[in-house]
Amino acid sequence: MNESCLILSFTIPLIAALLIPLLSRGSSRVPVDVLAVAVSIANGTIACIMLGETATVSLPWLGEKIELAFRLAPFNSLILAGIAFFGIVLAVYSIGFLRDDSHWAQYYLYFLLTIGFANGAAVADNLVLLLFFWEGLLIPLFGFIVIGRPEAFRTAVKALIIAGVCDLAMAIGAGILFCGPWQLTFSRLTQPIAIEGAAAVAFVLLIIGAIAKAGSMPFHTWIPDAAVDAPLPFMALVPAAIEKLLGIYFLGRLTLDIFKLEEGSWASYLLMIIGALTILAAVMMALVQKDYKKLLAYHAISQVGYMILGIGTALPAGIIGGLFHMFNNAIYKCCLFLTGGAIEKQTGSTDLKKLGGLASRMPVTFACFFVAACSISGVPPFNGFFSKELIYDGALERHWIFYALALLGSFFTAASFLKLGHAAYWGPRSEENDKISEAPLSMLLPMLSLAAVCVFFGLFNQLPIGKLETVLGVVRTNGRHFAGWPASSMLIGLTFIGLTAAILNHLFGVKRSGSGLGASDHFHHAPILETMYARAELRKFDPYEWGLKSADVLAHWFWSLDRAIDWFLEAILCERTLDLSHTLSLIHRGSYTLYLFWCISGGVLVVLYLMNSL
Amino acid sequence: MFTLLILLPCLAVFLINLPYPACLRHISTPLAAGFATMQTILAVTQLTSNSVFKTFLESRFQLDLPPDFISQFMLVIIGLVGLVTAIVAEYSIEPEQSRFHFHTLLLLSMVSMNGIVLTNDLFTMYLFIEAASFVGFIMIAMQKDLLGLEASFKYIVIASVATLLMLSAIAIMLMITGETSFVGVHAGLGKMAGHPLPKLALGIFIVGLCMKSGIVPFHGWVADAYTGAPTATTVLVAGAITKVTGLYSLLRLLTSVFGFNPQINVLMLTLGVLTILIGALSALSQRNAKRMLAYSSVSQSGYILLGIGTGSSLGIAGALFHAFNHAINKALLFTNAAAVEYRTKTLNMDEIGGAGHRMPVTMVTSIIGSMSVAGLPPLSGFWSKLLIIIALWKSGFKAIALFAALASLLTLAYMLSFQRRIFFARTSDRFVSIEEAPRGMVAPAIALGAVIVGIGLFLPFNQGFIEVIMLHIGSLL
Repeated sequence: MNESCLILSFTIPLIAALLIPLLSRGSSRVPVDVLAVAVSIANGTIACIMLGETATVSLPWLGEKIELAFRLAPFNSLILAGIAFFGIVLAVYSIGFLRDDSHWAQYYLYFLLTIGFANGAAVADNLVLLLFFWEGLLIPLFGFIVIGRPEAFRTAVKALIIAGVCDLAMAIGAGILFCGPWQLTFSRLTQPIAIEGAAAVAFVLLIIGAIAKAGSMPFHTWIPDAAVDAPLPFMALVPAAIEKLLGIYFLGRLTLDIFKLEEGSWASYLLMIIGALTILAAVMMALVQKDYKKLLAYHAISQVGYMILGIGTALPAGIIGGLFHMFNNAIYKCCLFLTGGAIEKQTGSTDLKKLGGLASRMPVTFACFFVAACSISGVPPFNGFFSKELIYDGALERHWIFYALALLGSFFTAASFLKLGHAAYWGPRSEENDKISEAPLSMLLPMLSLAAVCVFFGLFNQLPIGKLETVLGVVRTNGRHFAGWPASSMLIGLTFIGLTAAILNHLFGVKRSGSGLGASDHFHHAPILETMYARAELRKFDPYEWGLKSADVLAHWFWSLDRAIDWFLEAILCERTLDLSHTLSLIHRGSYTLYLFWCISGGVLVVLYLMNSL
Repeated sequence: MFTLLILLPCLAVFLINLPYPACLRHISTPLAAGFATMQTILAVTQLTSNSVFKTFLESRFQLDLPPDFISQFMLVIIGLVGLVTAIVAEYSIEPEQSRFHFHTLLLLSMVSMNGIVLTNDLFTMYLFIEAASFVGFIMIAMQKDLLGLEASFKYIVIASVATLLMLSAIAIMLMITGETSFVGVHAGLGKMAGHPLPKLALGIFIVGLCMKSGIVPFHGWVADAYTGAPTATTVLVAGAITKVTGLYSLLRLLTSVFGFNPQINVLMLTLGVLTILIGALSALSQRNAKRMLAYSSVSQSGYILLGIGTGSSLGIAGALFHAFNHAINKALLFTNAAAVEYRTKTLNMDEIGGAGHRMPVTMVTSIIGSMSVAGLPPLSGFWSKLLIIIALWKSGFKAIALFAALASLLTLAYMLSFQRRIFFARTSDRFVSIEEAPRGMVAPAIALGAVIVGIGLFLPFNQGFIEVIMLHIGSLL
């Protein structure tokens, strides 16, 4: 039963995806809508059946190390449940959102492909098989972005190249493990691989693949671009939810099961530094954004930092906090994007300058936004508070500096959401927004359910945390329990101080600039930060742009080399050959005496040669 | 039984020249074609049913070549080329009276070539070579136009020098061994080791044969002869007469009479390299289609010489196979050239331009022929070149093997230029309304193209051949 569910979890969406082109032939959208929702619900049912179960399917495939192995364990059953949940929510939401979009059929094709490949990646038990599904996700990724705005093609290429390069790193890492004495099927590893020598290289390469999928710095730069260009449900589904789940899931598998990440090792510090830097740099960028979706996109990057920091601590509190944060972030970030989608649908814009005062017109949307924003800022009793406290706990145990950076990140997060909420939902309302109404039910229901889960996971956090404790195992947790109200009152106190500071800062900013939108201007125009922001706006810090520039330089070199070779072939080789050829045809001038002379001299030479040398 | 191949056509020539009413004379075409077909079929069945051939394949080319294997193979070539010539003559020789003479001459030339191939006596071989050359003189000047007469004259002058040299060589051998049969001369020469006279005889014999086959620097007459002669004659001379009178005799002389030694190998290889290079370079800048093909013929003879020059059984197999391919390829290309000439009345490639749009079958078949000459897989020309190159490498002439491979680029260059200038360039206004060549010219072209493709495709599936190639390549690496 579980075995067949395991296989069905990815085959149903993939096969259904192939049916979409057939079903979308007619003008009616109903069959496709029904199919997408039905497959999502079927997927949800399967995920519910498998939740907490174990199963293994293993078939020979490409050789001894590469087998067709799938495995269901408590950890990936949680991931499957998460993917299924977001699948249902987004399938319902998209019906409303895409009502007027001409690319709806393609959208659902990519939607189902994403679900199918993500499920496959979650249950794959072999690194090569995982890579197969991992790479498969690039197809819908590219397609999703391309069907956005007409100018989205560049962003799609950018996303594809960044993701492709990182996946290549992962493939090389897998190649190193393949050549070494290690197994590629995770469940066949008798003990985790020590991070040293070649294995360390493989570890770093695989980590690159994992955190790039999650959207960490410095592999994040396509996300803010896609936020503007791609259809919004894509942002809510892929970068906000499924990619976070998969990336952090794989990071967790890498650090927990496959490699032996020890506390205080360089690898642990590397992860923590990446995490801390991602939190701070991305949130600073988010602070000054003037677009609803772009601001959220930077937060989607920033929040990954918390997860990587938490898992990087290699302490039970940090790991559980990181994994819990992964689910929480997916939920509230998805919810936030959906509120953005609702606003875009109703007002036609997500530019904060044109928004304002929407709270009274779209109260349900505002309520959902409020809950999700409180969650992401770490306000108790919402879910984000509990996972952040656990991460703080772990970070503080390793070094206070990581804790301080994470806390600073939280301060800015709260500040930017105060600004966002203020700019979009309070303040004066522009005239064209006076007549707007609340979003349709098919868009409200998904938002409401996500907001409800935010509250539920906050109030009853022992439920998800208990599941994660079983994932980690009794040996690792040492019998401790992490659910409930945080134990350290100092952490709570500091968190409250941070939140209060954010509110005070917001009041100061509003007073200074006179509007909610300008609440962060005093950071934007601070002495050093202003130049940094200006450069960031010009994409001076984008590794993709660096890559493009160096590719240009390389291309120029190769072009010169090519010209040189061409010149050699054209001007030296071909021209001289033709000259020789013309000379020869002049020599053959048709005189038989000349030919006879050649014959006789040639004959004399031949005879002389034979007579002398024999 | 093979003697019939000499006697039958002689009888035929005699019978059709009896003073019948003229209306009976048009049986000459079916007669010549029929005889050629019969010869081909006979030789092929002999080849394939003969246990010698099987042993040859099974031993993976390791045995010394049996004496009559080469001869039987050459009979196939002669038969095929004779058949094509007889068909092409239908359109290329006018009027009917001279076509009748042409067929008579064709039968006579086949008699003499069969004689060359089947004899085992030096002097008999010489006689048949002379007979073949004489038939060639007349056939080249068949149309009695200025170009043909000039070409024939050059051929006569150079061939008569060759005659002189060969006759002297045979005289010297008769003088020192008292024999003219292959076995006798071979035995006699064995006792004369170290004596200068046999070397002199060998040298001038080789020079004579090189003149007959148009090896550089003895190639002056070739381009004029091929261009001036009617197309049917060109097919016969390029495909069979030069190859049999020159290269086959050379091979026979070296294998059966003198035997190979390093000096001869080096001489053959030098001549071969020179021939390939000068032939190909000269072809590159020609404007006349037939002239370009003539120089291409010269260049391809160089490959055959390279194969012979390895002195190994593999190389000789490659040389024979290449001679076969060359006969087929050139028969096809000259037929195509004749088809184009038939419709456009010119052979100047710069004038013709885009005939490809109007003559699609001619275009496609000539692409097949050209690419086979250039040695592109999977056409048959590729396999013979491959065999020769492998043989060169295995015999230790690695630089020459490399040269032979690179020289294919030159071949490709002039063949592409040939294709572009005749079929793919801009159509000049004169030729916008030309039609596909008549069926009698298209049919042999299609048949020859099919043979090239068929051999190219099916040869690799022949288990024996695959093993040969694999074995030799395997031992290279």
